[in-house]
Amino acid sequence: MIRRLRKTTTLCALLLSGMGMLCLWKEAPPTDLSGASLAKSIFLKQAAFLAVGTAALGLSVLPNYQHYRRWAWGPYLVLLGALAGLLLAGRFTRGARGWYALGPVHLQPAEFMKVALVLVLARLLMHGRNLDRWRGLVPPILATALPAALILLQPDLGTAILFIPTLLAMLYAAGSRKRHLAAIVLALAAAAPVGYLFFLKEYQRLRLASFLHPDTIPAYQQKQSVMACASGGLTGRGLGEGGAHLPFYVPDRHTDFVFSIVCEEMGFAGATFVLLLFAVFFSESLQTAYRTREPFGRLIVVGLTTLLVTQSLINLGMTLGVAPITGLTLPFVSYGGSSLLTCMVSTGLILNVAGRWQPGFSKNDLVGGSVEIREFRPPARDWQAH
Amino acid sequence: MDRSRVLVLTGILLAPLAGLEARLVQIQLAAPRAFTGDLLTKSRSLHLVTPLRGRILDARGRVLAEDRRSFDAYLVLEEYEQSPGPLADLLGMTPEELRGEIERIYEKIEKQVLRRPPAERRRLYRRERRTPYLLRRDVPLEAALALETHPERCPGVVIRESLRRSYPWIPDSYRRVFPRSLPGSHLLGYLGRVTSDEEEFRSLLQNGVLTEGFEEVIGQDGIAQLYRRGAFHEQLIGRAGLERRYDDLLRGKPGILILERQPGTAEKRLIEIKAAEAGRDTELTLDIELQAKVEEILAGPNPASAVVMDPHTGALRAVASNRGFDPNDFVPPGNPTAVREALADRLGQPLLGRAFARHYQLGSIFKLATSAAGLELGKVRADEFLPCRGKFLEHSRFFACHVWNNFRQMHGELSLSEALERSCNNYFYEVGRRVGLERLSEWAAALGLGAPTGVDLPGEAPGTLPRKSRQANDVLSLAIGQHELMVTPIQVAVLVSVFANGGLRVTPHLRKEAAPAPRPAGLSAATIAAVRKGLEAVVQSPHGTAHGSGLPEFRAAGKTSTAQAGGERTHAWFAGYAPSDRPRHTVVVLVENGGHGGDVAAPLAARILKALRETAPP
Repeated sequence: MIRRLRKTTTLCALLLSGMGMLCLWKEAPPTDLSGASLAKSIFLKQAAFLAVGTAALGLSVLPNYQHYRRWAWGPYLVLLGALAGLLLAGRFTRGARGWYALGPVHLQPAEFMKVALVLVLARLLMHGRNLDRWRGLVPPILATALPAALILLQPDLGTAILFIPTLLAMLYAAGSRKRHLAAIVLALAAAAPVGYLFFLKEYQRLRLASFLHPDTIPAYQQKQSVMACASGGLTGRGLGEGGAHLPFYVPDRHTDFVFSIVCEEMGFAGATFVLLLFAVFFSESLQTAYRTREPFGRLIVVGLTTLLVTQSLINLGMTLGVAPITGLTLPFVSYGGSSLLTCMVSTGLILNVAGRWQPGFSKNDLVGGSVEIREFRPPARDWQAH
Repeated sequence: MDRSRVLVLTGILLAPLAGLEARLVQIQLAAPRAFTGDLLTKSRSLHLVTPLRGRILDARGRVLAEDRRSFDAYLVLEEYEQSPGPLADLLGMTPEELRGEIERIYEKIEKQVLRRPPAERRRLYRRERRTPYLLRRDVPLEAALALETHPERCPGVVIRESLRRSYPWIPDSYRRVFPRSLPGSHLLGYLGRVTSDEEEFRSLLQNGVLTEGFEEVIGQDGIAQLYRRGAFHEQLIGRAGLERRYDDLLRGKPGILILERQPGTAEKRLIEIKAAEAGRDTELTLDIELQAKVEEILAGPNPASAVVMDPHTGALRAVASNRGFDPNDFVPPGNPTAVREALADRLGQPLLGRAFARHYQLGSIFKLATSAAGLELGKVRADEFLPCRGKFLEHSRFFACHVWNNFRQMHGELSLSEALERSCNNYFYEVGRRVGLERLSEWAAALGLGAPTGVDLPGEAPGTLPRKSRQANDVLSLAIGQHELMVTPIQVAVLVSVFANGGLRVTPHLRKEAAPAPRPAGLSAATIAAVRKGLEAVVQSPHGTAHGSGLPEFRAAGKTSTAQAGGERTHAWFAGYAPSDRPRHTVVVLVENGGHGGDVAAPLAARILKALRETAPP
């Protein structure tokens, strides 16, 4: 059994989801074409996903994460197939083929791919094999590029871009050379203009351009969002007192721009509280990574945390008008089943690593000779449990 | 693995959070004034910007359909009812019509109001009575000017500019022949309200066709508001012809405007948050001048149709029918009287594109397919002589050659080209009997008969081709193009083109860019040469059925057909190509119940070739 559950991390995750539910409850969410409010159905859907997500969190905590090492490729390959299937047979909704519709629920394989990719990368990098040579970098880069390309074709630029910092952070934590990482970053920077010109869709280019030149091209959504955030002041307008009942006040507030609700209705205090929750969550998990000596677990934590941090930063920056619109959700808080479920499973994995004692050593330990390597004997309590 | 690297990562990842907090301080605490607008005090309304619909151009760039600026009159009920002006006179409506329109606006408002909770209804009702509603489209320029320059004469009327689809290309000579129609009307089609097909409207909305790119900008809320205000209901989409077929190309994407108003002031601000994207122009292979001439040539008491096509590519130059309509009458608001008349004309059926949307008995032109099948299957040789003894079956009243039926004569021994030249039935009865119905119908299908050709026009009739023999003599009827065989003139154009272009089956098309590659029909060069010899003889030889028609002058080749259609008179067909040595045009003419192909249809084909020579000099 798990030795101990990190209470702070769990609490942060649940509090953040709770904030999301609060925003959904108090906001007037969208109406359908006939004008009937979707408030109830959306709230109930999210509540159901929160329940499922909490259960998934529990489930992903329970088995020793070392078991995931053996099965790491399974979900990755299945999801790769699902992504390819979307491109072949997916229906276009809102200009992208990113959904599998199962009754009222829309599942996004790209969301789940994030976790699967981190597991696979951790599996590839855990032994640090050939990491000081280019040859060793090829498998992880390929494993990342393949799903990233499939997601890019949907097209979902935001999610695909998240994979880059995740890969870099995991490579860095696994101990690859800084030279190599710098070379990868440079290559990506050089490829960016080419991608901008040839691979981005017109609307994606427009979003970037409107961010860089806010005066020339209207970025209505973002402008409204910044205005709404600013109008919150210190303590906010009060729950449910925001302007969201006005149509197209900040479009799609409950999904991508959910933080503008927090800012407007709960003000600086509420927004700072959310940022604080994120900060605590992230620093707790990175501490876990620091403490864990076992490489697979550490890499999982580093990868998942980097994913969540990058996604949060991009989303918050977009809401506050300091990053371009990418269509990424705010982890835990935004409305969206797949997103919430992924966040919960990620939390579960981080807690799983944090709560276990693992025998492990790193290359440095061997070189330095600071650790005496003894025969592995499982701790007594675990032993008795069997 | 180096633990210090995790510390470095922690620093890199968490530092930006501090930056975001700083941004929060900046916009919420330090200088909120600089960032907040008067978000809550302004009232906003969304408006659709109708995109410019793409033009339809003919092969030489003449404009067949375009969006023209026009003026629409909107009515603000409250202002109008306080002091009603002479609105009906100005707009050229009768007082009853005006009252009806106002009644319709009230219905619209009520429908909207009833959707809201009772507490809001009174407020909403008052608001909607102050909102301009569409009263009449396409107001004459003078009326629009009068209303704009003297608003006090008729308070409550707002004139707005809009786009109106118009079909401008009508030459005077054509007008004299067809006062109420437009060249190529069946090809161009017309626009209609998107709501005229409720189910389609639903599916267009559900699939986001009407709201492409909106959700990212105004969200579901905004779309719902536009919908409630009826913005999508007013949209026009292609309802017939090319307007329908290429609607997704032509339509373009609507834009969105936000109108911001400060209540209590006259201050207004328009924000364009999504620019409208104009539709693409569509270039046709059609030559509209030729099309008009062909329709004039076909004018007459009998319904008639014709197809002029490039035999090598399938590019259609003219697809004519001598009963047409004026699409300008059909685009809303249009001319309801004209529409009603067109719909009521059961005999003429002016809305029917006869060259592709209806199928007919074919008759002797099918002998091309019979020859091809016989030669390809080796059941008959091109130089083999088969006898014509008048009657084919000794004891039957049916199955005799036309020379026997009409003159109690017979053709004697005939080769293939002679049989085609004189259109001998007995020769082809014999070939048909040798081939068998199943194989014959397979070959007919391979040559393009009895199935849609894939022409880019909606509503193409498939025709019918019997596949199984039910009675022993069915194959004899089919061999001369009777029995259950039904084909469209455009299918016949494909059939003749196979021989004209040396064995390729083309896909007829009207849009220049939509040119599917021709496929081999599976005929050998010898077969084609043998049939072509016969087709040339039909026109050139003094015994040929189309010899006296004026066609020899154009060095044409072809086949006539006089098809029993169940009525008193037979359908008159001619299908051929010219010039015979290097074909440039395929021409198919059909005069319904017109009589003999050689006497009626072939001379028309000659006149069409003359028109071709005038409009498209070699």
